[in-house]
Amino acid sequence: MPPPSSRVHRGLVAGGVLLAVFTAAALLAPVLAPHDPLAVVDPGTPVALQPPSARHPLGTDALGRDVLARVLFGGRVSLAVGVGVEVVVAALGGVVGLLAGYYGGLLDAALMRLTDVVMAFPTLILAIGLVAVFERPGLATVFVVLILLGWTTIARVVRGTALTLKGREFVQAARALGARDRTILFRHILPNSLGPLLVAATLGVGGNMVAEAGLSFLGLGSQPPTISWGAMLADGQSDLLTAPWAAVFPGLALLLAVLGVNLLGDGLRDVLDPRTGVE
Amino acid sequence: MIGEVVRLVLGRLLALIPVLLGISVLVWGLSALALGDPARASMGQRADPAAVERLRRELELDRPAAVRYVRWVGRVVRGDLGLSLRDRRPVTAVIAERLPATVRLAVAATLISVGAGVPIGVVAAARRRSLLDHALMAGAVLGISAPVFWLGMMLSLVFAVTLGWLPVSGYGGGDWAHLVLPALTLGALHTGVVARMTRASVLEVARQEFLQTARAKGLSETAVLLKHALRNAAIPVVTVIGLGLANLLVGAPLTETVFAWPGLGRLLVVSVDQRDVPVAMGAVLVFALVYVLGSFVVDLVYLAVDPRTRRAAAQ
Amino acid sequence: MRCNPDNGLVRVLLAGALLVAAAGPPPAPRAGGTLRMALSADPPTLDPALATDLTSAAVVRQLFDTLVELDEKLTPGPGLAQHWTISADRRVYTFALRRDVRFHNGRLLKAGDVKYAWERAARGKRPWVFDRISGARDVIEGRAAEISGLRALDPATLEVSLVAPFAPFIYLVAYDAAAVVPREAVESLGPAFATRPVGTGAFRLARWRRDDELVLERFPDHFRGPAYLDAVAFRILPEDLTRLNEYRAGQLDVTGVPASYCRVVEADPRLRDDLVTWPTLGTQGLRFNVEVAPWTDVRARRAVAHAIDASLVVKTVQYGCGVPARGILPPAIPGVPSAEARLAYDPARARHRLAEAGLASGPTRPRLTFHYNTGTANQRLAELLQAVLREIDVDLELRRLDWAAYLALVDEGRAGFYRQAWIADYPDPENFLTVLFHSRNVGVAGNTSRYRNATVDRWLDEADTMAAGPDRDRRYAEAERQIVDDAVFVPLYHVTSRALIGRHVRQLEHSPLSSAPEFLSPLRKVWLAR
Repeated sequence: MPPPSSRVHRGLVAGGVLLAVFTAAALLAPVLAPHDPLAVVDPGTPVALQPPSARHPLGTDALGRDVLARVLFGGRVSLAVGVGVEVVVAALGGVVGLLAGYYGGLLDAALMRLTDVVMAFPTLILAIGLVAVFERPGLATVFVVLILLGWTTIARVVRGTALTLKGREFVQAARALGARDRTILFRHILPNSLGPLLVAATLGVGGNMVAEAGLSFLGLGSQPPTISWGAMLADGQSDLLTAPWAAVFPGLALLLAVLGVNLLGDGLRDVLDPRTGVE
Repeated sequence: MIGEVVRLVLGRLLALIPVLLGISVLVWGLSALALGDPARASMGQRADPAAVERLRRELELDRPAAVRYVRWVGRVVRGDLGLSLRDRRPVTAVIAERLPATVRLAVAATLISVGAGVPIGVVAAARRRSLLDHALMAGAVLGISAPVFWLGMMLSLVFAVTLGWLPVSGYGGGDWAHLVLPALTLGALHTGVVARMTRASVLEVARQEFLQTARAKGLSETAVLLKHALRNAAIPVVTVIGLGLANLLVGAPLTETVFAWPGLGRLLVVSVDQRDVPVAMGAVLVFALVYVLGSFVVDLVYLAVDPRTRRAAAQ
Repeated sequence: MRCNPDNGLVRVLLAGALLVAAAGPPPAPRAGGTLRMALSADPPTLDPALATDLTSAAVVRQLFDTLVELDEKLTPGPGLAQHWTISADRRVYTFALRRDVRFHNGRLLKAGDVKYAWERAARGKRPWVFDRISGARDVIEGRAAEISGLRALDPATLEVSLVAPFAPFIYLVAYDAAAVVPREAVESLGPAFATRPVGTGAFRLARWRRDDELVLERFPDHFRGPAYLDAVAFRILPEDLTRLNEYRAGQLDVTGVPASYCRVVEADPRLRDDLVTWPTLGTQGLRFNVEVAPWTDVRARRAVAHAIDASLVVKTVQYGCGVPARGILPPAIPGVPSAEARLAYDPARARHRLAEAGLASGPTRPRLTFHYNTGTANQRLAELLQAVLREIDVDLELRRLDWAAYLALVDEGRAGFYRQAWIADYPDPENFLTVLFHSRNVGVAGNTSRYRNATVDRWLDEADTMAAGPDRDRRYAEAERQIVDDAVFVPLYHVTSRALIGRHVRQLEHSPLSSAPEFLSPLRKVWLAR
C-alpha cells in the first residue's frame, strides 16, 4: 500500500497554521488593532459606515467603529468559548462515555437516555430560558448552555470505543488477572480512547465557535463592550444593502477560524487512525 | 434477528417516553422560572393592573406551575396541545401552519445535499489524491465550516440585494424563487457532510476483495465504483442523509431568522420570546419526536447492517 | 412685490390661469383596484377589544368604525355619530347616532350595540380608554357587569357621563378600542371572533393566509357608500429590505421606510419622489427609576442628561433622519410650546454633577446598568450610550432582554436606567405627562420611574380637568419643565414617519397619529389612478 499521502500532512499543516494565526491575532489584538474598537463616531465628522480605506482597512460600522479592530478583538471571545467549552465538555463527555461503555447494563441505558434528552433539547430554548431566568445575557450563559448541551457527542464517541475495547483480549486478560475496574479504565481503555476523543474535541471547538456566534447573533451572547463576531453580524445585517463590509468580514473571520479547526481535526483523525475516514 | 429487532423497537419506544417527559419538564420548569409574564407582555407598555389580573386568570396563569404542567400532560395524552396564549388558537393549528414551510425547506436542502454531495464524493473517490479530489474535499470542508447564518446573508447579499435575481426573504406563499436561497444555505453544509461521507465510505468499500476481482476483469475504476462500491457504500451515506433530514425537520432557527422563513424553528424562537408556553411546548415535543424517531431509525439500520453493533446490543 | 405691482400681479395671474387651464380639472376618483400594503407580522388579533399593537390596529381600523373620526389634522368629526353635544359642566356627552349603519352581517346598528361593545372592551386589554366614564372602574375590576355612566336613551342616542371633565375624551371615542362590535357575532364565534371579525367598516375580511397575506374586500353597504378600492391586500413581510425591494419591483403600492433606509431612498432617483415624511406624535427617550441607586440622586440623573448629545443619537441611531427632541411633548401636539424643555448637552457640567453625586471614577463608584429590549436600533442606542458615558469616565453595563423579561423588570422597578419610546394614543399632553409621570400611575399604569412629585401631581390634576385652551396648555408646559428639570426622562428625539407612496395612490392620509407602514388612515378614501 502506498505511504500516507501528503494530503494529510497538508490539511493538518494548513489547519494548524490557520489556527495559529488566529490565536496570535486574538492574543495580540491590542497591539495589532489600528484603532480603539470601541471608539464611536465623533460628533463633528461622519465616519459611520465607511467603506474599507487606508485609514480603516476593513471599513467602519454603523457607530463608526473600526471593523478590523473589532474583528481582531472578536477573535478572543470565539477562541475562548471554543476551546474553553470543549475542555470541560471533553472531560464531562469522556467520563460519561467511559462509564456507559465499560459498565454497560442499567447504567449505560440510563446514561444513554440522559444523552437522548440532552441531544433532543433545542439549544435556543435553553439559551433564551437561561437568559430569562438569570435576567442577563452574557458569556457566562453561553458557557453554561454550550457545556450543558455539548457533552453528548464525545460521550457517544468514547462509549463506542469503550464498548469495542471492552471485548478485546488484553482487557479480558487484565480482568482475569484480577485488575480493578478503575485500573482497567484508566490504564487501558482511556488511553486508547484518547485518539477519537481528541479528534471529536477538536472538531467540537469549531462547533462551539459557530454556536457562540449564533447565540450572539440572536442577542443571547456576550454583551458590549465585549465584542463578538456573531453580534457584529447581527448589527451588520440591517446595513447589508449600504455597508456589506460590516457583516462580510466578521463572518469571513469565523469561517476561516472554523476551517482551520476542521482541517486540524481531520488531519488528526487521519494521522491517529488511518483506517477510518479518508485514506 | 427478528427478536433483536423487536427488542430494539420496544426498547426505543419505551425509551421515548422518559425522553419526552424529561424535555417537557425541563422546558416547563425553565419557563416557570423565567422572568416575564405572557399576560402582561401582550398588553403593551401601559396596562391596567385589574386587566392584567383578569387575563392571568383567564390564561390559568394564577395556578402553580406544577399543577399546570400536570394538566398539560393530561391533555397531551389525549392529543390536545392546548391553546396559544397569544391568540387563543389551538397549538396544533399553529404548528400545522408551519409544517409546509419547514418540510419544504428540509426536503429541498436534503435534495441539494444528496444531488450535489453524492456525485462529488464518488468523483473524489474515483480520482483520489488528485488535484480534483483535493479541490472537491477542500470545498466540502469549506461548506461545513461556513457559519450557516453568515452564508445565508452572503448569498442574500449577492443574489437578492445586488443582482436582484431572487427575493430577499419570506415564504412567498410557497413559490420556488423564495425557496432557493434558504435551501442553498442549509444545503451547503449538508453537501459537505454527505460528500465527505460518500467519499470515505466508497473508499472503505473499494478496498474490499470482491472489487479486486472486478478490477481484475478490466473494468474502469469509475465503473467499478459506481456499480459495486456505491451500493455497499450507500448505507452510511443514507444514515447521514437521514440524520440530516431529521435535523432539518426540527427547523433551522438561524437560517429561518435570516430569511424570515415561517418554519418551526422560528416559531420556537418567537414563542419563547413571547412566553407562549403551550406553543413552545408543542414545538419542543415535535422536535423531540422527530429527533428520537430519526435516531431510532438510524439505529435500526445499523443493527441490520453492522455486525459489531449487533453483538454489542446482544450483550 | 416691489417693481410695478400691477404688471407683476397680472403676469402671475395670467400664468396661473394658463397653468390651471392646461392641467384641466383635478381627476375624479375612480373605483376599482387593490391597494397592496405590507405588515411586518400577522396581527395577533382582529378584535378591537383585544388589540394592543399597531399591526392589529392597521387592520382593525378598516374593519370597524367608531362614533367619532379624526381627520388628517386631528379634528374630531362625525363617524357612527352624526353629531354630539357636551353638557355645560363638560361631564355629559350625548351622541346622536346614524340610523343607516349596517354591520357586515346585515343588521342595523343601535345605541345598545355601542354600550355592549364598550362594556366588553372595558373588560379587554385597554380598559384605560373607558376609565373616565363613571361606573367603568367597577366593570374593569369585575364588580359590575354594566357601566352605569353609559345609557342608550333610544336606539339612536347614547349618553355618556364622565367621572370628571376630561378635555381629550372625544379623542378616546375615536380610538379603535371603542369600535363597535355586534353582540350576536361575538357570542356565536367566541374566541374565533378575533380571526373572523364582524364590524361596520368599509372593508371586511376576505381571506387570511398566515405568513403570507391578509386580504380585505369592499363592504358595499357601508354607511358612507362603497369604498373606491375593491380590496386591500396586506402582505406579511417581516424584513425591511424585502418590503423596500418589493416596492421597487412594483409589487407594493405603499411601504414604510425605516430610518436605516432613509438615506438610501433619498439617494435613489426612482424612489425619492415617492418619499413622504411627516412627524408622528411620539418621543424616544431614556428613563430613570428614582427609587434605584444611584438614580435616587437628581444630580446623577442630571449628569447623564447633560452628557448625551441628542443630535449625535439622531445621527447614528436614526441615520440623521430625525429631529432631536424639544422636550417630552412632541411639537405636533396642538398647544405645545415651541420652546425647548430639556437639559442641554454639556459634558463639563455632566462631569461636575457626577462628581457631586459621588459617581466619579474611583474604587467606590457604583455599577451602572442600562436595560433595554431587543432590536437593532435599541442595541445601537445602548452601545452609543456606553461609548458616550465612557468619555466621562462612567462604566455602563448593558443588559439586553427580550420584551417579556424587560417589561417584567421595568414593572417591578428593578431596572434603574432604561429606554422608553412612547407613541401617543391621542393628541393631548395628558397622554404623555399624566400617564407617565403622575404618582397615581406608578407601576404598570405608566409611571415606571416611581416619580412622585406633589407639585407636578397638582398641576397635572388641574390641567386634566380644565377646558381646552391656553391656560391648560400652560399648566402642562409647567409640569413638563419640572419633570425634565428633575431629569426623570431624558428626551432624545421625536418620532418621524417615512413612507414611499406610489404616485397612483390618491388620498392616503397621514396624520401625526398614524405611523408608517401601518398608516391607520381610513382606506375607504383611497383610490388608485391606474
